[in-house]
Amino acid sequence: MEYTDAQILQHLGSNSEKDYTLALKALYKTHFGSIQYLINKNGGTEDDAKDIFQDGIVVLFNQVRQGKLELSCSIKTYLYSICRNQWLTKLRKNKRIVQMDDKLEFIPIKDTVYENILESEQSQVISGLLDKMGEECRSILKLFYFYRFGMTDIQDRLGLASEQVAKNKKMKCMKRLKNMVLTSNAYKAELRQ
Amino acid sequence: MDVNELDIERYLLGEMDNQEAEQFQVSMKQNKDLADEVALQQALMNGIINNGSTDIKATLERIHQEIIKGEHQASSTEIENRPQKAASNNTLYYIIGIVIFAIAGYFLYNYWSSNTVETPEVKEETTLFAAHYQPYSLDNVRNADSDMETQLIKTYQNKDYDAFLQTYGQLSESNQSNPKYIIARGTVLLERDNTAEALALFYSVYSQNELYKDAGLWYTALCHLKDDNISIARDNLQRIVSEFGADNPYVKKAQTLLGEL
Repeated sequence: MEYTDAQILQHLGSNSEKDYTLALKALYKTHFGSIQYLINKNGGTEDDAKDIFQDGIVVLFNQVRQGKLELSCSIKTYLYSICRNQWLTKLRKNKRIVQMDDKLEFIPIKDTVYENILESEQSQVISGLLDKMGEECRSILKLFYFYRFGMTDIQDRLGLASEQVAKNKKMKCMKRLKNMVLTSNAYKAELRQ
Repeated sequence: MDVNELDIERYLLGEMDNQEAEQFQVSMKQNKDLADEVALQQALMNGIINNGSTDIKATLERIHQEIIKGEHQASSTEIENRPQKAASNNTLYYIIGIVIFAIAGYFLYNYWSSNTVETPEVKEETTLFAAHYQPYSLDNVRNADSDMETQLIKTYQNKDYDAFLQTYGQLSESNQSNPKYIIARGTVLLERDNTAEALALFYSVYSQNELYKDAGLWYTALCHLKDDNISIARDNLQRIVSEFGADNPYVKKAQTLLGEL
């Protein structure tokens, strides 16, 4: 089945894992070819194409979940622009060619998600600390801050007694994470840089 | 959680209206402790988002493997299930192959002998593309029962590509996803030098429709050939040769082209 852009966005924002996985699959099948072409044409390997494309989809997914996506073009153009931007950044970092050979339409991207969250050392340190927490805390915090579930949905998903219990647990988990971060040497070292 | 912490969360989650957010920003400027606390809370949220993004990347990796593995599995199944009638057409394809090869050879010879070679590599690839490219055949589409589909096929066969693209845009969603129409649309774009869009279409065909994978890979190879990406063109041709049986018509074409690259 082919999805329209509106359907893709709706599915990406859904609380059903099945729905957003379907949207991710549809995005993969429809758009990977053009990104593969772009990266191959500009000095990248198949693995580079895969990495750049997956990062691009993660950025799109994040924007949708955080309610920050203001799409003024098609998903195809948006995704292509994100990936093009990321590949250009990588090429510049490696002091390689900066004149892109591409043929598809693209828009200028101000991509804070990629730089501030996915690539940031600080975020990676905190993500590592989150991995050390218990399963319940990890799930609650991710469901609330990443997937942007409401408290009722978190209560349902985790089988908690009430919405208030979910709220209290989320608050406690966040405090625990904060303490772990503040006492973490890795985080302090990162702050000093 | 005290009031400040609740406000910080509301601010960072974008739950304040403009006026309240502006007031909060003023407070941050006047209160360094508040600004530091906001920065820390933002860092925590970014770390959680980073962690969640890793989950999504794992899902994407599974999807990638599924698509790649699916292609390989399906191609072996397809080879096993290919009808025997293909074998009976073997001789016919062989003859057609020889004729195409001979015609291509004739044109290649004429081309090379009548041109001074200024940029040999580019001309060679362009000529190879011209020699091997044939529009996809839409003759044998069954169930083309709607007027719109009949019109689509007619415009394609008449090479009225503007009308073809316009008609394609008016098809129902299910008809638009017919792999034959997608390949035809891809070849129209390929002929118009829009290889990037064409590649995306061919990729969507060969990654999703096992029965048309050979055609999808063939036209993908031709796209790369047209773009002078010889090594990638060769990879796609090799895939056709290794993944399909010797009686597959695209295998013959791929072997011939590989021999000339």
